Amino acid sequence: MTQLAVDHAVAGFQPAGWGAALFRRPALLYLPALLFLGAFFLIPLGLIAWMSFTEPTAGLGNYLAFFESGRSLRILLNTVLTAAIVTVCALALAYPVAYVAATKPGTYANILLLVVALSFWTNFLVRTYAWMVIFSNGGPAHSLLAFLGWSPPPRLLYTSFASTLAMVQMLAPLMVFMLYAVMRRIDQALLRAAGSLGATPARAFVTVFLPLSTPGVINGVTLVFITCMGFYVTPILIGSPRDMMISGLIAEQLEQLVDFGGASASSVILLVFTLALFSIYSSIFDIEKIWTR
Amino acid sequence: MNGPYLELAGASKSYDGGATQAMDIPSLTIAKGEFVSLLGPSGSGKTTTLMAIAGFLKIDKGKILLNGRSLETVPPHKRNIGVVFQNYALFPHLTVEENVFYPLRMRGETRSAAQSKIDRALDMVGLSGAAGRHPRQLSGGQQQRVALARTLVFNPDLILLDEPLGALDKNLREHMQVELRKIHRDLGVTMIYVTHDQTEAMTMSDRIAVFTNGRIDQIGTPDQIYHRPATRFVASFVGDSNILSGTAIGEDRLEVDGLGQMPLTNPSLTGGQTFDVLIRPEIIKLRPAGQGTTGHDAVIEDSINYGESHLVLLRVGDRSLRARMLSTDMKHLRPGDKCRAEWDPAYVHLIG
Amino acid sequence: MPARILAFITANFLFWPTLIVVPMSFSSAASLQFPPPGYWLGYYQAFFTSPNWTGPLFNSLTIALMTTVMTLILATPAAFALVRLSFFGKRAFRLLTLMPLLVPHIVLALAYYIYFGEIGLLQTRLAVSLAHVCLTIPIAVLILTAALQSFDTNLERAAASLGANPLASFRTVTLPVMMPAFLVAAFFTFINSFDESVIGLFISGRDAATLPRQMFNSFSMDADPVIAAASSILFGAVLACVGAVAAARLVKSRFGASRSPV
Repeated sequence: MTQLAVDHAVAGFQPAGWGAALFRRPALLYLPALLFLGAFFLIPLGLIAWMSFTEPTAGLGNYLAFFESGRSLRILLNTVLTAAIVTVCALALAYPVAYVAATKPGTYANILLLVVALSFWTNFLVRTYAWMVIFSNGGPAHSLLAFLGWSPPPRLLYTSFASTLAMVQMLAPLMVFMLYAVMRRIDQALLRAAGSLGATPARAFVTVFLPLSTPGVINGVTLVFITCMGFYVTPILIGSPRDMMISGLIAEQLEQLVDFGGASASSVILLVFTLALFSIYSSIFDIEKIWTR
Repeated sequence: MNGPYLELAGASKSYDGGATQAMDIPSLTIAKGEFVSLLGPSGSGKTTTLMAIAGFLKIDKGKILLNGRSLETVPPHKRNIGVVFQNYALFPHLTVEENVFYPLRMRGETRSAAQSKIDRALDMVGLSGAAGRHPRQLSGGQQQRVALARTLVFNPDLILLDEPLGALDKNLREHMQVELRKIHRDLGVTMIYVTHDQTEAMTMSDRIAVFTNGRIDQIGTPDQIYHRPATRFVASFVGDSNILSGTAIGEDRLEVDGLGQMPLTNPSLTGGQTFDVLIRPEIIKLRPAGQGTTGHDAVIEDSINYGESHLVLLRVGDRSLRARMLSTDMKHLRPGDKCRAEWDPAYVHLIG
Repeated sequence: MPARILAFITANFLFWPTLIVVPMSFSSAASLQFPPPGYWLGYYQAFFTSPNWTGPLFNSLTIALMTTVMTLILATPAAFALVRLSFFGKRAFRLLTLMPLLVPHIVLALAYYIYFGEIGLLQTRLAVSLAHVCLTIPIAVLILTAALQSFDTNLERAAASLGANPLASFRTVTLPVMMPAFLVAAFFTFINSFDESVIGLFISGRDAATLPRQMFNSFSMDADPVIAAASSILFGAVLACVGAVAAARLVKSRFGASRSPV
């Protein structure tokens, strides 16, 4: 830290330049975003919260209906379970990639990051479509099973297996980036130090690297789990209609039943669940750090 | 010395509702053409003072006058004060030449009209060949020169330098010290130089202001600061020192804690007065034990070789003293040896 | 090294499945038949000529462009306020700017369906843009605040000491130095809006249909094989972008290092 930076931190200098001119009127800077998010984010969310209690009749009816219905409870359970499976699988797949990319720089690491980036940036719908082709009857996966002697091969498209696998493939890149962001800041000298102190590479990994990478694991797990809980496109397009996720239920209530109250209640339940998870996370970590390098 | 050119009067700044005193300067005057260092440990208020003069920081109370004009209502960009920052603050998107042109551009000059000034400034810092490069393509020392040229080019009334050499390695730093002095001499511009490096302050400055806890403990020439420190802090911060406590017994004698009585050559003391007694390590002379009876019995506990000199750690009675000996004088002295330690009372300084 | 082998497996799992859309797009069969019975370019032609596809493509590009402009206009001052200033409720404001990242898109889709229905904006490009701006404000704010935090404020001090007034200092120093961050923020915003499927699916309707909505509809109906061409084009665009960035990095690392200081 430079001397000036130290003094700056201690003394809290006023900003020079442009900031100084607006120093006394910060509202000019933050008010536009505040008003916009108020009008187009908070009010719409408030609206569905309101509707969940008032539509079609005032009261807790929509919530009682949700929690008294075996089907919606099963859907909620299935959503959490699917999200958990996807998160664990994505973590298992992503960890070695992030580890190699962060600790063994070179061509191989660069190629890994390139593949992950390519996958990350490819539209969810494109990737969902690719899985549709793979799992379709007569498609590659189907033919492979037949070739291996499974005859007739089971149906793959429109199963939970298909949508879970596809979601793992779609969310693993996100997990890699979350892990990589933390891992690349781990000082490699620590591993060499552990080695010089008598740890085998495996023990050095378990006793030094693994604990230091846990913030990345927690970031990744939280974000992937939350994203997966609200996933709509993939389970709808290639998942089993019987093992619906809560996003599917919301769409069904909206589009087929035109039950705004019920859809709103389901949404509020999903939202509360998500925010609760996140507040647990943020009680341990600084909220903003999850997305920043 | 000329009359005051820059003047700080009762200037103070505090934070957290007065809980943290960042800067409190009853009076500081600097003459035109002077090179003054603000020396002190980090957090002592020297950078705060610099930033207040530059106008990046509003003082709570007091006045800052430049050439008789109060700076209170003058925004930084109208003060005509050049600042060289520790990290250089070169504009990364501009070339060296465009960086140096920047202050002239802000003053409405055209590039063609300014070209000769730019060339002269770059020439002065020895960087004429790098005009078209970008700052990131330059070494730290070169970036430092660009920052200097950018400041010199608009003839500021005053140049403030905030630890400008802090990021350079030792040899380059010494080289730049000499160059800075030369530029200061050639241009006669007033410079205020913030540093925590006492050697740098000693070698470069006309005067040094020693800062601690937001205040100036002493301001004076390097000789005054070194040989006549006004406070115990100055004595210990500037140079190597032995500081003992002593009590006057009569007009010209001192009872020094642990060392016994000591004659003095600057008399007119009042008995019972207490002092901090400063004995610089280099005034101590050592003789092998048994040669003469003056001085104090001492044992050499350790000796650290600095090449041209040795730092000798002595035990005198139950006191530890540091002595600085030329290597040539250390031929016959080894750790463990007994010896006699002696010094000229004229060089002993009392802080009281 | 087992980590390398595991990483290799994951990389293959991430890479190859998506690639299947490319042979499909040249297929002469009008269904999900793999491997295709024959190859032709007809679907690409259809993608660029059929109003069923050119309309949504145009809509998506327009919406993404509007979203990018609005997001930058709103997020830039917000990021400056968050990094440079202190004001009452700053923590709450920061949380609010990040909140949209947490809300599941299906929830927002429902909320916007009802809200824009109420105010009569449903099925317009403007409505989709407004919704997308909410989603992308957090992204732009995160990128810009990170850049502003690493922005050396001494540059602005230096500009001031050299005679630049606050406006000149912003124009000649802050803006150009921050330009890469603005470009990155704009790029991320654009892509996020262009790719967003769920909200677009529910609120864009027939008139303002986004490309993802059109793609989704052709999946569910399993009728329009142009989807394979559309997917390949999107995949190819990503491949080109990622490849270009990687190539730029490679060039920089190979040749940038040799430009060492003299």
